Amino acid sequence: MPTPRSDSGSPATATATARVVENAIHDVVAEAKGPMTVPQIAKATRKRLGAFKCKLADDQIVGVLSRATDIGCALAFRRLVNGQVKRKAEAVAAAARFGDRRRAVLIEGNIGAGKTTLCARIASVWPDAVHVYREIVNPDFLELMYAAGAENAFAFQM
Amino acid sequence: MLTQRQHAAALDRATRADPPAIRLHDRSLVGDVVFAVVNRELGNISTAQFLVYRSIVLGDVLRADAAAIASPTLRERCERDPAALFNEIARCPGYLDDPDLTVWYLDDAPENCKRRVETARKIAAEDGVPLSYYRAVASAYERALAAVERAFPTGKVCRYRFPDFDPAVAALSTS
Repeated sequence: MPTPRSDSGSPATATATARVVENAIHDVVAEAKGPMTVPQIAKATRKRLGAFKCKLADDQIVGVLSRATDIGCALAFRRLVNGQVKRKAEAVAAAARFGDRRRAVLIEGNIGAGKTTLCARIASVWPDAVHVYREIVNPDFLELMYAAGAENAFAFQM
Repeated sequence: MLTQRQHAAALDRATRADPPAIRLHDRSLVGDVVFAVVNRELGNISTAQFLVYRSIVLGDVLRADAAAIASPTLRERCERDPAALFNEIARCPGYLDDPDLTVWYLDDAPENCKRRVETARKIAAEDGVPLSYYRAVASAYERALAAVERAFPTGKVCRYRFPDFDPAVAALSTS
């Protein structure tokens, strides 16, 4: 996950300290298997930081996640919000920032491979940021195509 | 169906100014061409019809320049190997060369796909589709993906299997 990293990893200054903590929070939420509460994130982050002791206020964690600009943290934040049913405004703001980068995925596969199922799953995880372009097949053409392919395949393709 | 693809292309252009974060194309032009090639190879589409289809895909949808569309040996090439259109699509500027665009192929055995369509989807028109058609589609997809991989050797295609889509969802968070 492309998160900002401190150059030395050593908290020599207050800024560097904040960065180390921020990276640790990012890593914790990126590796989360499901929704996490803020206290759970705080506990896991302290464990990850090990010997490096620091204070972790709830607001600090929420602030770090809501500033995330990469989708990994944004998704994690969505999980967090879903888990708590709070902070919806921050989640929407994170989605808006995440929208700065456009991504396109062409989902391909055989008839019945699961394309629509996968699109629905992604859209359910990230409803504010996903737009699905669905192939719309006219059922009349589909029926004609499979009933008499030799006569109707070209019309179906067009 | 191409009309829908053209519609999607128009939508795509319209949303470039204010794009959503993730655009998922539930079958794209690549898949559309797969079905055209399959039906050409099965003899359901004539050489002339395939040439019309090709000129619309390259000219109207992908806006390729005239030199890329015209070729003195076009007819012979389309008769000999309609799948050559995969290479043309893969190398057409302004489509798959978008660095933020990837192709995800949901790879499953034709037998499984057919069973799923007949047991879960229940679209009457699709019930009688023979297994040989699913196999022909799978074969054409492999050639299409090979063309994309040749055009983009550093990686453009990811493969996932039904129903294990969690890696695909996770890929969005790490790519």
